[in-house]
Amino acid sequence: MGLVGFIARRAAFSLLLLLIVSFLVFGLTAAAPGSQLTALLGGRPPTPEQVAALNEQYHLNDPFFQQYGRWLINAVQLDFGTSSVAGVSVTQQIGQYLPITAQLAAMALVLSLIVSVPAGLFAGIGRGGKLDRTVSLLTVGGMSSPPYAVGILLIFVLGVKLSVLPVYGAGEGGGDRFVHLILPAITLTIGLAAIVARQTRASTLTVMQQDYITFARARGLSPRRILVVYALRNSALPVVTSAGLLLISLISGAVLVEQVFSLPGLGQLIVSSVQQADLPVIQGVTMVLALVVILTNFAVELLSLLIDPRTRYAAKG
Amino acid sequence: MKPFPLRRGAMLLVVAGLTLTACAGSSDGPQKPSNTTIPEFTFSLPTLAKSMDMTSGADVATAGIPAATTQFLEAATLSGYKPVLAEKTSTPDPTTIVYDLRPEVKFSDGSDLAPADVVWSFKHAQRAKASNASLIKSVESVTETGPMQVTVKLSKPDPSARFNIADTSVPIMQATFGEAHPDDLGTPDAVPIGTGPYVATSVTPSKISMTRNPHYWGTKPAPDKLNFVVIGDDTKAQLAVRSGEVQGTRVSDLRTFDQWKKITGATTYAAPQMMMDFYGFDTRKAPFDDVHFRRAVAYSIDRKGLVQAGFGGQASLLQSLAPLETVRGSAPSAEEADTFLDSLPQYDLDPAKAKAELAQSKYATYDGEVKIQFVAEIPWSKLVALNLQENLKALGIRSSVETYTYSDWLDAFYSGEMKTPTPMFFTTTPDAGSISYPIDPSSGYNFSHFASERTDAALGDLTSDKSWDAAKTILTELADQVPYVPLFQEKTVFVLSKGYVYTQKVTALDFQTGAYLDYLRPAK
Repeated sequence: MGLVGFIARRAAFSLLLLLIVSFLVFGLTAAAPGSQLTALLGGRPPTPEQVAALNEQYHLNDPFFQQYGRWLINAVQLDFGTSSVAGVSVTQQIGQYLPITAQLAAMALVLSLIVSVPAGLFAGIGRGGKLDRTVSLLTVGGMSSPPYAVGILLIFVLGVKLSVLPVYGAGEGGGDRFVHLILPAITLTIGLAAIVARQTRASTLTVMQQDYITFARARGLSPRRILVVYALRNSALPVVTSAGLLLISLISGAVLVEQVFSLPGLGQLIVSSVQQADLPVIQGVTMVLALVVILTNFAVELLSLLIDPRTRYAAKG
Repeated sequence: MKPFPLRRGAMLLVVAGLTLTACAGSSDGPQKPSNTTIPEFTFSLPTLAKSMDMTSGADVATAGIPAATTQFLEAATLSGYKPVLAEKTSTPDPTTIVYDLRPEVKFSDGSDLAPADVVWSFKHAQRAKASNASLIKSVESVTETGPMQVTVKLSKPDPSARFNIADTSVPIMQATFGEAHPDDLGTPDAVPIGTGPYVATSVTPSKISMTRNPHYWGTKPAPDKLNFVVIGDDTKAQLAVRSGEVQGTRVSDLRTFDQWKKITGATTYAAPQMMMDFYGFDTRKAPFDDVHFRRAVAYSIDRKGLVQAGFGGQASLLQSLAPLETVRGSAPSAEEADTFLDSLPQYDLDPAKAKAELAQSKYATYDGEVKIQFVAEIPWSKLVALNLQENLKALGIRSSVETYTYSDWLDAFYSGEMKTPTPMFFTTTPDAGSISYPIDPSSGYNFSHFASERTDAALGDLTSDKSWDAAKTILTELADQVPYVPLFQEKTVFVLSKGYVYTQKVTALDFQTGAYLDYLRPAK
């Protein structure tokens, strides 16, 4: 019951957080410089009929809380209104752009974990050795490389000079999509994999100094069994926590990488909507991203409960 | 000492080689056009069209996309009009435009173009939410006056009406399809049916693909398939052109012009835009209510230097508060227009003249602070503001620089209460009509609140047979009283990769009306 109660409390807290975020998102965009009417009108002097029609369509003259209430009720039903620039439903737009960001983030996450967890693990086990020094050097390099510069360099070398990978766009789906996402995923991965590798290394170092590892060795267990069953599982908790943060970082990092590779993902959508003061889209995308972050954190907490029995006992009180 | 590893040395050589290759390169000589077709052509732009219905979010930067599928009655050019769907246009009086439609024009679904489609298209373009409705507000009625004839009546003489109809304001679409899609016309699910040379086969956020319209009535452009893709900025677009994935683009930041010129085999095409950049003063407010103070400020802007810094050299200096094409379009002859422009005072950087003007001003010892505005999204405006701030120091005038966001600027613009001096940028038309905008209180553009007896009297004559005299009076008065400092006329630059040529320079108007596709050819 204690565990269920804990999960219910966390779920309720997540909902409350989402509500606060929704108010902040709506309030801040409403308070942002430049009126929505101006954005809707574009660069031309309006006719009075245009102004009246737009005020009526977007309820621009209603009081703030009335506007927020209407927006919130619709948002709960996944209706974020209509884009003031494209004139189509924001939900439809998000549906078009979200898959690219999700695919890119998933690809980069898998790539990051495949590269960084073994690298950090082996570096931690062989502390001070050649591999450890190499991994440390590469992680410093990876963390110091700005994604924008890495992206441009990759485009130039692999796309322009060697012509082995496409330089822009998301492809037409399937295999073509996969090929188009390779360079952006590598760009996203480089910095983040470095962080996870260091996190894994530090965690492994701590675990390898524990008594149960010494006893396991004394019992004559194979190095492989010690590595997988003892070291990996016990160093997994901080790695899972950082992988959750990694997913969030991947989504925010995608904003920049999508710009570099001209990918039509949520990052590009939010940048263009900010540039064009397309408030319904800004609000809708921000809410979706907030939802992803909150759900990811919630999932990480549940995973922690699953992986580490100590957290379950703590949750039960 | 350890020997330098050979493999590492080889890798460095490769990197150095790649770097050198990146920095080198130059444009080849002019390529000659061939009359064969192009199997597939990809054009990149910083954004795609907001809607395939140009009346819903018309944008000069992306209008070339819907213009490939939807056409106009006429195509506006820098020097006049080219017939498109109307084979003949006449203006029997200043408030009437008669369009005789081309027979046997078909829409892409095979149906015939009829006057009813034109009438519906006008109504659609005039609806309250249409983005360019304000440009055709003088259109009072549109009626079928013959089997293939449509007559447009204006509520008052409007010299710019024909141009605006021919530009992007009234695209001709099939009425039946438009009526069936009152709310979603222009979205990917309801791409308008037009008469243009192409039909959209796929519209996504990142790519719009088109194939030939099998019912196209005119001469077919060279590409069999046409793609428009999004590439956010010039650096990445250059890489895409270098890689061969993109064959054509429009330069979005003119400061990168020299970089484009260095792409091997690529050709650049620069042509003037019907647009002017200038700075303006609120003439009701001190110290800008004094003409000598305004002139002193005007003489403190290094216009020539800023053409290179702000536009990579791809702009010309405005000689008056109207582009050259507007003045020539208003004058009886190009020679007369040029002679007139040469007679106007020019405000180039001249500290001595600035000091002399300031000395004559009632604010000769001005102890206030001039707050120079610029718009964050308009790079040239920041350069002008900083340049002006520096040069005003020499006059002993304290100044500071303030940033507007573009939407703040629009808010201030619509409210009619702009802080000054502030940057301004207008698109114009090649006729006397647009000369009135910056001083006509009813235009919505006279934010300087400048008025004089001479300009007031001349405004009414702009639509009469005395229009050239009226234009001269207004432009002379504006040059003398300087409520605005004319600065630049930007160019539009298109780039084609190796293997492709334009048969002539392509202007922004050609892009907006779709003519840029007609000039495209594969190189021999």
